[in-house]
Amino acid sequence: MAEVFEIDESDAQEEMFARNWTDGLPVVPPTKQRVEEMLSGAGLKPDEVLGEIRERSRYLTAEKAAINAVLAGCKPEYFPVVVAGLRALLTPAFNAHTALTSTGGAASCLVVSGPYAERIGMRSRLNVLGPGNRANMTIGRAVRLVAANFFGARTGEMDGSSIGHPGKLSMCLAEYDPPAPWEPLRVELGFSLESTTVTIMATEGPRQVANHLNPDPRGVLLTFAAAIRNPATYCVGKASQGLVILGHEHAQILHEASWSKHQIREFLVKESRISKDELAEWGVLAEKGSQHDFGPTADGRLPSIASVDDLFVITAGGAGAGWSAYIPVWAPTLHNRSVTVPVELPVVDAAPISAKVARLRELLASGLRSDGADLLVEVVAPRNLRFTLVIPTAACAECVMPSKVLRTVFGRHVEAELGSDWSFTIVDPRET
Amino acid sequence: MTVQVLSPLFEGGAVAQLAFAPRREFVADDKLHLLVVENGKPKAKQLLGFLAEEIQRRLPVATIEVHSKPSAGRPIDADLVKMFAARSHLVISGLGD
Repeated sequence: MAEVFEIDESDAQEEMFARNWTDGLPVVPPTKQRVEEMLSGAGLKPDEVLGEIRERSRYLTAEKAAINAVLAGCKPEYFPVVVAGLRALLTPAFNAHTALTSTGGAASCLVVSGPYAERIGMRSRLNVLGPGNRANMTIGRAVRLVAANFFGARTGEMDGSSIGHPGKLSMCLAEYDPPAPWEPLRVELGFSLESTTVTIMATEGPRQVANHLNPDPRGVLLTFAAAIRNPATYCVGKASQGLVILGHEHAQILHEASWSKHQIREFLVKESRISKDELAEWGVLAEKGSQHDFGPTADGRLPSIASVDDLFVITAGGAGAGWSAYIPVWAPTLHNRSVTVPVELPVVDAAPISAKVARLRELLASGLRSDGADLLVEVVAPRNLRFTLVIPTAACAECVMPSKVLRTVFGRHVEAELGSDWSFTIVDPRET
Repeated sequence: MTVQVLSPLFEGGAVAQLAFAPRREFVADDKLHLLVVENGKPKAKQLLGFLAEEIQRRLPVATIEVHSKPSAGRPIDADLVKMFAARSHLVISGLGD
């Protein structure tokens, strides 16, 4: 159980700033009730361990994650995504101990792919990397607050960022599923179309990629290659991963020209290779005799992206003049790799739901009983109800409202009692 | 009016203080094994190699072994650490940039 503090409500913000619980912006006071509601959003017990950073001897519990999610301003329904992001962060391949510490100043960039993103209102189109969407902003912020508050990743402690960037506050976006035959990120990574996944990458800030006039797919991709092989980027020529966000027009140009996503990746991996001489032209000296010395290569160039599988290509962003983005990772694959974890939604607890359904039935049936009718209710599938009207005599059939009208009335009450994600059907004997 | 809030911080306490390895005096006919662990960053090997040579001039170091980490960002394997500790009298490791 986390330590409890009693603070003056009127001075709560200043108190939380004084305790160094924030990222420099105001936070929501993590009361016991808010934390319990957050935990219920993912169906987790407080003491469940989500993962660890072994080098720091710190094991993260669901309770500590939930407290930080409350601070960040998350709704309980966002918490399953936060949890998946944290499980990804704490997977050894991600190497959080170093990613959260390095002078390179990496953000913990989260890419959410799948239907749950839309269900909780995440943004995948206009301003996808910008501010204004609560789910995008607070999910990313919650993961960073855990890193700072629980794992000590803050200035003056174990975050050694020389410069850092604004994405370290929050960097979280939803993928907009691409048009067929292109597959969304989760499917490319081996998950089902119906699942929702969170991919974490330790990244520098995004580079906006502009190409407004060239309708040629190869021309568009060469512009991306120029962004990927920019000599000022630390990982250029050092075999790393990267994230390409294809905006609306660029995706359309490539899709209509029948480029597959694999072909796009192959092209970009090849065209982003760079020679030591090219790096030197821009003042950058390649490493010699140290960890990033890859020796001579067949074409005399160094790989900026380690392999075709190390470049992630997603579609997101709104229509405009021809904007996309490239997000380089902070370190070569030698030190850190992206990790993808599926979002696990809580199993609906049968008892409270059945109580709510029973209450709903009583509420709706009471209006029908005065007309001599009655109502049966069944849960026929997760979040799906079947109402059956019982009309014993032909005489009262005309007294009962037609099912078209009942649908509107029932819909209002179903949403109020159970939530907007429940659906239902009405079986009306007058229509059989 | 007051409100009760839960701490978001790590509460596991400080890591227990570890004891240093036993110290000993050096004598003229010692044949010490000096291990240098360089983290793979540019010029780490040169810098630590220079330090190792300076130590060899001042102490009875018979052998110098250099271990280059493949990644500055990842710790050395725990079993490797045990082997290094078993065969070394002195260890220099470098951190940072």
